[in-house]
Amino acid sequence: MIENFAKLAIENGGDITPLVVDSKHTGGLGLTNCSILPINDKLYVNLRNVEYTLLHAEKVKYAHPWGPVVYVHPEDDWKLRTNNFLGVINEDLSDFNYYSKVDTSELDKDPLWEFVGLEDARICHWDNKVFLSGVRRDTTTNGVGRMELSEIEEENGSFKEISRQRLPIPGEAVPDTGKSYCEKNWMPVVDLPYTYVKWCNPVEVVKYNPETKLTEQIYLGKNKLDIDFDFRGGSQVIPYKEDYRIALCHVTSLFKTETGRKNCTYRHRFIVFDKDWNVHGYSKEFNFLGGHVEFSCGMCFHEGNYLITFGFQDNTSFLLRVPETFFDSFIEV
Amino acid sequence: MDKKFKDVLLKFAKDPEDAMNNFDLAYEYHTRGHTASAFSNYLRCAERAKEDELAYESLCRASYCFTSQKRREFTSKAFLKHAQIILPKRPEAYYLLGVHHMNRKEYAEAHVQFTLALEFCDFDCKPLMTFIGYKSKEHLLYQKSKTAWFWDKNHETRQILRDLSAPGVWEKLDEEDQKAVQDDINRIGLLVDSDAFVKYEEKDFVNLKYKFPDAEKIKENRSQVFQDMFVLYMTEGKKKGTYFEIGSGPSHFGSNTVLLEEFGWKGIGVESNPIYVNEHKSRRKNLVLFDDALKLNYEKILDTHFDTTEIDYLQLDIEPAINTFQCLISIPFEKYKFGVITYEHDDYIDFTRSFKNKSRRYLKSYGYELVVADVSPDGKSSYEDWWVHPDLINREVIESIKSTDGTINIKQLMLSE
Repeated sequence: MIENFAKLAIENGGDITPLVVDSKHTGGLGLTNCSILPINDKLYVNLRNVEYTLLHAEKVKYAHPWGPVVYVHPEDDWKLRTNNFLGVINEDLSDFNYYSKVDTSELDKDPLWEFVGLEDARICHWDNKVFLSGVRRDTTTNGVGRMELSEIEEENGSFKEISRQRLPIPGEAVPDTGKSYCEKNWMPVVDLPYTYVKWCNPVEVVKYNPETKLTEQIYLGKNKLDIDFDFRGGSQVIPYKEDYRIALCHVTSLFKTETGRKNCTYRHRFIVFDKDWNVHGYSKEFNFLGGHVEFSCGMCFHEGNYLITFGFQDNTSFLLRVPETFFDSFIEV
Repeated sequence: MDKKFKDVLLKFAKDPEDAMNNFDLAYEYHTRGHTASAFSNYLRCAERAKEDELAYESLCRASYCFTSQKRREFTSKAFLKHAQIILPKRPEAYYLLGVHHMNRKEYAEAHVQFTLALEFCDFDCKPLMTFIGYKSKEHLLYQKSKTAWFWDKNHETRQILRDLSAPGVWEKLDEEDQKAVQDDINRIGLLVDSDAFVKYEEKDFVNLKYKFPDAEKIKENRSQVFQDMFVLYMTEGKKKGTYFEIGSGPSHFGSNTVLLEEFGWKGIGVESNPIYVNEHKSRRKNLVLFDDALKLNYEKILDTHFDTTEIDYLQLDIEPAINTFQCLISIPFEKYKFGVITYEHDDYIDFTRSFKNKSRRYLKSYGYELVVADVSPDGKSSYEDWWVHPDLINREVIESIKSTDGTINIKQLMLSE
């Protein structure tokens, strides 16, 4: 278990940068679960702005009266709202060149459930269109979650959602009607349009058809890895070396305190697939900065570095630059 | 991103388990308004801090993050309670909790926090590294005066305001608090009864210590604290005396000259409130000039309205203390002599603590003798001195009432049990 991957990366020539937008746009609330993708020589970054503050007393020393992990909402409004800020960062990765809150107003409907907005969106670029793809849970009264694909249009440095597609699970004719309650963290495969790694063990790959609006399972691994943890979706799946693809997954541990209160840790592993979607290998487990809740929605290769965007405690976003040489040595596959 | 932020982040990234690294990063986020990010690192700092003071400060600041986010008071308060538990003798968490409650108009709860702090805290403890809203013990005390007021503990409010305005304490308040305290005192007064009247009525005659001719005929007086009775005693119940009244006020309520008028005295007053001036015109015989007492040529007025340079009574009563003193030094004492002077120095709300002594030195320099010093309605709120000119007042009378040692409770001075 590597407690501080960021430190290793920095010591090996990497760097870390905070990803922030002006707090006047967010009211100081969290910017987390960020994604990154190079598109036409620009580095696009999406930040999830949550209208709660995650309280995680990691050592359970100064817990909230309700427990060590609490989503702190306004006391008169318990909706878990998400907004997204999309922008382009500068070449030295130190700041945004420009950004805007993604304008979803034309497609928004009155939310039917407590979780509102597109959560944990990954940036995709397929068919020369820019998408944010994440989970939305506000379309039914019981919070059914399905991945969505929001096409984003950029105009004069501002971003607007111009179409929204709700992805059914394979075999589901109409989204939200199948047996699965909540589908999330599908990992978009950046070089295969509309394709996602839906699950990692066994590997399940699905492809959405924007014409038929159906999702097809295109691969299901026959062998399940004999491991005592789950690979849960994280970053996009990106090409790795000549013959592989790689993604960053999270590994959760959900448990309760002695007094029965919910607690959790999120750790990470890189997972490497061959071109046939077999799991070629996976890395050691690690945390980025020792936070017990860290979550990544973005990874890309850019000018000799792997750029990883991750959320820290659901409240903060960082961009970690990991030099290729060190990255490869860490992956060890 | 500025260099400091970057440096702090790099330091944190290299050792995110270090409490101070968490605090520093939290502070950087906090100063930029990113309260959610700041909160995470403050909490991490608190949970990793070896020193209680650092954990305490982090928890207070964590609480403040939620306060800034608004509508998260329950959580915000929870972290202040953690802080209180760590260092129950530090005042900041009590103060911030009190302010929380005040903002929600939960005055009783706020009052409890302020009271506990004042009772149990060590106010000499080492200051925190950063400012978190708490200014001083005196500021906390002032907040308590407000919660007391809204919890109908008005006596306590006044006592606190009195304490805060005392020499040695007053200087510890910053300018903003000094003004606030002064405004509060001006608004509610320092006396339990805002009228603060100690009245004389006919039934009190038997207990009147200082009797004078025809005192038994007085049904009631009008002065606030026996000024009219004092003037008549010193002038031995004089009929057809003369007075000059600066700051006349209402025609009857609290007037020092209504009773004198009933004893046949002539005189004039000066008043800047047109309502009072009109009231005088309709209800009183003697003249009141409508004018600003600070801008008058007193020699000219006295020359115009009096045919003698010896006037029986001078009242000086405009607020605040500095204005009354300005009037005093505008009186042509070289030319005019006054038998009795009641001078309102308002020492209890004169935060310069200077005008009482200045006025005393000034009047003494003109040969006046202090007869009753530091007159108050309650034995605490000294606001007036009573003087005579020994050339015009009988020595035996002066000596009979002379009382210049400590603040005078006027009722105890003037009436027997």
